[in-house]
Amino acid sequence: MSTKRHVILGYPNSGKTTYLAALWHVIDAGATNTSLVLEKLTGDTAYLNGIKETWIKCRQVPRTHLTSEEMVEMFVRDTRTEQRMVLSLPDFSGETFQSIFADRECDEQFAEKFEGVEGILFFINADRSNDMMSVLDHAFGEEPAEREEDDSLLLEDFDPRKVPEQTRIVDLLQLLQKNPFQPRRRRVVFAISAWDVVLQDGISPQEWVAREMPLLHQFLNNNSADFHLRFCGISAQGGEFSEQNRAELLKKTPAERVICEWEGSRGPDITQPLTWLGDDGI
Amino acid sequence: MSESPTCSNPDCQVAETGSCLEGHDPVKSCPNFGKAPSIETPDATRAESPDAATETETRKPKLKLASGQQLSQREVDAFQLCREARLVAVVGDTSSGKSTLLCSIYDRFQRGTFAKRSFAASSTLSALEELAHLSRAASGALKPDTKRTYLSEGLQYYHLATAPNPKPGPRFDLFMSDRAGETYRSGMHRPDELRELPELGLARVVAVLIDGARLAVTEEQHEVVDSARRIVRAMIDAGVLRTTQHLQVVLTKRDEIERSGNAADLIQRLKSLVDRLKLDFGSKLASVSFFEIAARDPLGTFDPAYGCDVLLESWISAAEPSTSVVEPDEIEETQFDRLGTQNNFGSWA
Repeated sequence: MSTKRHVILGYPNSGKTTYLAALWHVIDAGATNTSLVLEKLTGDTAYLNGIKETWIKCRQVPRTHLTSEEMVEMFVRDTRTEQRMVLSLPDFSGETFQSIFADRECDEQFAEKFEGVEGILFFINADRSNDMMSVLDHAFGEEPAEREEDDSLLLEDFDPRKVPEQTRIVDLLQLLQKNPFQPRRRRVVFAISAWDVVLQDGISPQEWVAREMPLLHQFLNNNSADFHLRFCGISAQGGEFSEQNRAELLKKTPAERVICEWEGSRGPDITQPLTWLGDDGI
Repeated sequence: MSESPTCSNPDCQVAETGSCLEGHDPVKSCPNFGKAPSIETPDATRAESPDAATETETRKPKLKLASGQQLSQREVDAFQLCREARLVAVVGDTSSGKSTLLCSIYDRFQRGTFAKRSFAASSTLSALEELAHLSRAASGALKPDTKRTYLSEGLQYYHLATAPNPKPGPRFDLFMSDRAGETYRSGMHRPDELRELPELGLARVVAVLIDGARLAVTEEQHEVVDSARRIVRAMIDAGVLRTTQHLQVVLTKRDEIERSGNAADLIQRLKSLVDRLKLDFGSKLASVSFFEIAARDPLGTFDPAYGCDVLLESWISAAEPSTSVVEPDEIEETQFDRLGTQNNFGSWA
């Protein structure tokens, strides 16, 4: 039996926990629209059930705190290929990743959990503001306005936690190829969450990355020796939780709410990226 | 008196630092902000006890990761043992735009491909981000600026690896030096000091930056041109520049020159300087060339990183010295000699 281990990565508010809640529901409930079936589960199901209960009610799934990182191992079987695999999905908090860029250190536990990881599901939230704006983007060719106060007193100090997300992602991917991590070629799926907000743009998840995160896009193109890539768009909530939209979402069965854009088609099977991570083929 | 902010996340120190643990900006956008710290979870309860906190700390040992900061000469040397790379020495007076040049090149790659290259890697992303901070809207600045490089920081390198684009090709690693302009100014007066600056002798390309803002000031222009000539002469006299190195004279802040109303004359003056340098030192260098850049025109007359693409391309395409096989001039007498010159080590003639 294959014992491939995969992890979920992503910065705060990237949609990791909401996905995990939806995934647990789909697998636990034995939904018909997925090829993965659960054979065994180890770990804290209370945590999983907690976030799932919130998700089922179309409520905002709470963020993962640093103190509640949970290790969950799902032993699953792909009904199409009969291949068995273990999905080790520690729900690392976003702060774990923030600390890597800002403090240049990580928990030994994080490195241990990463040992032997072959696949990464990397979440990026599509519903985001532009964090790369420069001062000149606002200038419109005019003389900069003069402040009466001393300008330096109004400047924000450099905060490494606020640097553009694409920089932090590139940095993390580079670090994962260096000591103390094991350099190896890994399968990586970039999961663009809140995909429902991008649908009207008519672009693919990969095109979204090229448009919104050009540095990351270039980096990935030039490092194909380190990463075997796929891109997918995921809306684990199915849409925003405004009062009206929530009522509409509640009318659907939970497993049918989710949107997963994968390999050019759109459907409710959010396990497709995981299936690919565990696949031995191309 | 205002109350200190609270957060339901027990790890968040927004009250002390004003910064959200999860990176929300403004901090009020965090759903945990303003809520009382949770004391119901077992984790939070444990954390209240000093002993438990200590225990938690000891249970969470940290591993140090690569710093992402500027690299020292030793670190660059170590990198070059693993991978081929090129060094570029960026030389110039205080405020001539050395750091801004490096920052603007990085900024372009953040927005897409640049100079027919695409971004492949950088070991100094944290440092580049800090360098770019004052040019970002998030800094709150009204005018773009660059963090000054201080004398105490010594020599530091920024790393940028790129690959050809759109045509694929091998990655190329560049290390671009940065140090306080005062050091070079001092070396201009005392050439011996330049021998202590390793970047000058090790770089394939030495780019001497000339401050366009100062050149545009009538009173300053002669001194600026003269200083550029003197720093080149000092490097030649000190013996730190050789025939394997490319010298570039780079006019920065081209936008200020344009706005001076005297652009043609000033450019011609610099071109004459470059011609003179070629005449005087051309035989002692691989090449002498002239570039004009406007790394960050605050009025937007010039495109961002104007001319920096050509400059970057020149750094990558600068010719390496031709290599030639040196024939042994002595008869091999020992096996050790044979080891160094041929493959038939171990067989007696």
